Amino acid sequence: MIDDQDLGFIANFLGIFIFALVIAYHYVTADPKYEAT
Amino acid sequence: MGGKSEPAKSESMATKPDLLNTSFFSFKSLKLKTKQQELLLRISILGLVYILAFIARLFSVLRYESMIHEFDPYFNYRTTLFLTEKGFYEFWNWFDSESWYPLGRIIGGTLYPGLMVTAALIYWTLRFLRFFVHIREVCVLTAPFFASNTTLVAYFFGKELWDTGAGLVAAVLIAICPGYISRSVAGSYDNEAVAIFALLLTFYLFVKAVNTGSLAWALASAFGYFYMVSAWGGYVFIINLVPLYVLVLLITGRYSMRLYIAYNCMYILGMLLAMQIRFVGFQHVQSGEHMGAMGVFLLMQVFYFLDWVKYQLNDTKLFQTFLRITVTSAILVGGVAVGVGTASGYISPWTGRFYSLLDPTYAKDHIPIIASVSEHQPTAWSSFMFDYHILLFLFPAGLYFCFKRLTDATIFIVMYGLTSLYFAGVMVRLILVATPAVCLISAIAVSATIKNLTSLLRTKQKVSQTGSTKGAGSSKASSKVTLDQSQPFQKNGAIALLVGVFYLLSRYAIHCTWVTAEAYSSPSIVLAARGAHGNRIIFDDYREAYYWLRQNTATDAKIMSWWDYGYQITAMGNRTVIVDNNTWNNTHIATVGRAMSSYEDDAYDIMRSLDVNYVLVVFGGVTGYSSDDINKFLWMVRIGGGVFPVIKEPDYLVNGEFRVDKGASPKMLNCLMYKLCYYRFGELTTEYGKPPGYDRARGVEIGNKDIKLEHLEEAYTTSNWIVRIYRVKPPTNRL
Repeated sequence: MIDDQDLGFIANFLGIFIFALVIAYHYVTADPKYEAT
Repeated sequence: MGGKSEPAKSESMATKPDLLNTSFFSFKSLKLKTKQQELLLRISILGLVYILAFIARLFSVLRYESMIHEFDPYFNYRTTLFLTEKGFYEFWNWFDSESWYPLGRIIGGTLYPGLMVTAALIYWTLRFLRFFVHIREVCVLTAPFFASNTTLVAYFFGKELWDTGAGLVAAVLIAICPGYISRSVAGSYDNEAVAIFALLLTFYLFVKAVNTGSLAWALASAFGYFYMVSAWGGYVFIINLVPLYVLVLLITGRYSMRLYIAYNCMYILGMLLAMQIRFVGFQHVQSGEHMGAMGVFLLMQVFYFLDWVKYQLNDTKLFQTFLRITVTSAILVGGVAVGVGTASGYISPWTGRFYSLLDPTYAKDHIPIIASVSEHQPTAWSSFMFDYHILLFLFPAGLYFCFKRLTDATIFIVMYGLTSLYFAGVMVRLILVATPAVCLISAIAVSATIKNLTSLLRTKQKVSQTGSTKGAGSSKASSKVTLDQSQPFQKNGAIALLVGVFYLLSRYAIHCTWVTAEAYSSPSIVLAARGAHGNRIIFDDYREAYYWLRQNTATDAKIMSWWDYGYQITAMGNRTVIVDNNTWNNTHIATVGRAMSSYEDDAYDIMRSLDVNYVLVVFGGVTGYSSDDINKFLWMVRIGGGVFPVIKEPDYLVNGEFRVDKGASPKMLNCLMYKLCYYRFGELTTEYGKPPGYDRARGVEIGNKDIKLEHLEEAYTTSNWIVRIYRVKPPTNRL
């Protein structure tokens, strides 16, 4: 069973990871090939 | 072209193995097309955000236990329990004799049933699927579940306003924004838990209807509005913001058939549906707060009529005359109708709550019961920083982007953002309403910035590709032109800025988690403090007292306490209360306030007239708990004095100062509240090195240590003295 400190770590990690994915998403969609489609 | 550029691309990747290229190596090896990569990332982000929004709200469950928080949620829980046990019709016709004794309360006609019905439906669905959970678990987890759903609505709304990237950023921002989390942690089973979802859904569907002119979307927004009306009184914000938005579009010459269809359908159907909620009734056609929407609806018909006449009349001069006459007559007729309606009493004037929203000082001067609630205080700047963090400066940047690309949709979000931010400044609890707008507008700023930066990176790559190809002369020339336009160190600058953006967003995520864990996950019903050795001490006095009431008092016993604890006493103690958090009858609350502020003899007469058997007070002098009844006492005096002039605030103050020590006023030292809180306290040593009777919440030694009770006797005091219960003695025999 996880405690509140573990949850804090998971929430932080997930939040930062999602923001990294968001930047990756913008990077992918900025591809001229994607824009052409 | 594609065949030519491929080798150049792989070459550049091989020579410059930077972070971004290596991270996308996996995508290349999977041989995903760009569109597939986009889809995969989009779905992953949305899925993870959905999970994050849910788990970020579970701190209180892990730290304490699965329990309902605060005050109002206990009433909601009690009614939901009733609904699931007795069914909808019993719930709808429920007359509750356990509250507001001896008046009682018609529950079905005085509550917004949306939250209870939603939780009951989830409960019945789970049971149908053979998941036998307790209704309490459903109630505790309703708010996180709806917060997850709100992220999806925010995504679609952001997509509608700007683009998919903005939608994704909006979903992440709103998932963890403290301004929203504060009202949607697990256990916060309040109307706002589902209402923010309903609010955002209604706005999204309405904007979609305006953008498409589709009757189906307008119909959906009417149903969204109905859900909002059934869930929370904050629907008044929608019914005023939407007409204001339509009015702005009409004034700025943006009238269109799309707008006509969207507003008319939403208003008429939404109004008819809203009338089905008994608590709202016919307010849409009778209350001054709803008249703006009706006025705009009529104005819209005038616009449509003029449009049709313009089409019929070819003569511009004739149309100008007609326009002048029509507009003047419409304004005159509207003005006369409102005047007659208000004068005859058909249209009710604006309520005090509405005024207090527009004017921050109104409640303080006229309605002490609103001003007494801490969440109704004007917002401090630090609260904005605490709840919004980086969104505070991203919001103006987002506004800039919106003004740069003004559309019907961006006009809406700008209006929503600005109006709600004003209200958030007036009342601290309305930060919640502004949060979705702040997240959406900030998301536009973040997304547009990242898009610009990544485009710079991508453009550079494109240049190097075309530059490396030894193709025709024309392509050489074009690459030369592009190279000339680019800034020196453009790519490095873009990467540095992207890292900066990522750092800021990461800090936001960390801040949100910290705020949620430290500030917004306390259930209020169980208090926590740090001991001398840094260990956590739990004070469970509230539940101890309520369970004592449930097990040791007669089932028809009447409990008098300040209204804050009314819902908790009926829900957990299962006993009848005189007043509760509904605050619908100011006189009744003032009577209790008067009893608490009077001398014991006078208070006894009031308590006898209300058939009171027990009096419950909350006292923090032993533990240092500052939200106790002594600190709330001046509000009892003010509210009591507002109805009964015999109670005067200056009697309880010394030179305008509220004191409980030896320098306190005689009336203060002998009033019922003081006696009940400090009874036997003079014998107790609370802190090492301090005299007996040292009040840790106020940091003073109390002024009256020799308290004798004549008409009441101590029945129960909880382990940490936080809750004290007194029995009202029967009258002595008259011989």
